[in-house]
Amino acid sequence: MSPAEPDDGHGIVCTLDEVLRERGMTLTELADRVGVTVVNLSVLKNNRARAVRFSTLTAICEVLGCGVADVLQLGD
Amino acid sequence: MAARRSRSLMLLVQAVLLALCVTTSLVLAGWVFGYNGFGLVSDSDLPGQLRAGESNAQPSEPVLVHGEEGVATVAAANEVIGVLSGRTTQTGDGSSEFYGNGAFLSLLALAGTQHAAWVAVRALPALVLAVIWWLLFRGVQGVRGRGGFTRSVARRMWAIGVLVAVGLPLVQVLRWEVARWLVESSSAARIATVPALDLDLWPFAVGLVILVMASTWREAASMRDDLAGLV
Repeated sequence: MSPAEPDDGHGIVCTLDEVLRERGMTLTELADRVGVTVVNLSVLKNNRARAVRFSTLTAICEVLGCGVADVLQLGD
Repeated sequence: MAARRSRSLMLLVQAVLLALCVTTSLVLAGWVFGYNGFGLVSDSDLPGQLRAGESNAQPSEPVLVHGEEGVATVAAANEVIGVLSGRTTQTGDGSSEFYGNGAFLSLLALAGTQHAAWVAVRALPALVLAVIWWLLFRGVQGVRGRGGFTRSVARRMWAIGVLVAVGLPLVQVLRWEVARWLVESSSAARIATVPALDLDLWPFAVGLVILVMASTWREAASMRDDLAGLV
C-alpha cells in the first residue's frame, strides 16, 4: 500500500501536507503546537489513520487557520 | 525496571515451553520407535525414562472377563487375600476384598495394521501435547515480539482450544474404538470385552474456556488495531 492510498476501505484523503506547504510549516512544528506526537501526525498525513479525535482535528484547524474540509476530503 | 523483569520472565517461560515441547517430542519418538512401538530403536539404546516398562512390554488392553471365568478370577483373588488376611489380621488387611471382573489382556500376535493402530492411539495424546507446547511457545514469542493482543496470538489460542476441546476427547474415543477392535478380533473375544467408554469431559470444558478466551482475545486484538490508527 502506498502512503497516499486511503486505508481500510474508506474514502477519506488527508491533504495536510498541502496545507502545511502553503503555510510554510513543518510537521514537527505543527505537532509541537497541536500537542500531538510527530508519529501520530505522520500517520494522519500519510493516510494511515483510521480515526481522528475531534479535539485533534479542532487543534489542527485552529493552528493552521483552516476548515476541516481543507485538511480532510472525500477522495474517489 | 519492571518492564525488563517482565521481559526476562517471558523469556524464561518461552524457554521452559520450548524445553517441554522438545522433551515431549523425544518421549513421543522414543515410544513410537522404541520397544513398545515399532521396535526400530533398541530398548538399551534409549535413556532410562524412555525404556519400556515390564508391564507394558507387550500391547495390552484392560478388559472385562465374562461368565464363570470372570467370577473365578475374582474368587481366586479373594481366596488369596483371604488366606493372607488370616495371617495378617492384626494389620487390618482382613477388611479388603476384590470385586468386579477386570483384567488386562496381552495381545501377543497383532497384525501390522493392528499394532500400528495400537501405537498410534497411544502416541496421539503426546503428539497433541507437543503441538500445544509449540503453539504456546510461539504465542509467547509473538507476545514478546509484537505485544499481547494480536490476531496471531488469538489464532494460536483458538487452535489450542480446539485441540483440547475436540482433540483430547476424540483421542479417548479413538483409543476405545481401537481397543474394542483389537479385543474383538483376538482369541479372547469369546469371554472378554472392553469396558464401556468412560469419556472424560474435563478436556472439553477446559477447551471451551480457552475458546471463549480466544474469542475475547481476538476482540481485544481488533480494538488494539483500531486504537493503533487513532490520531
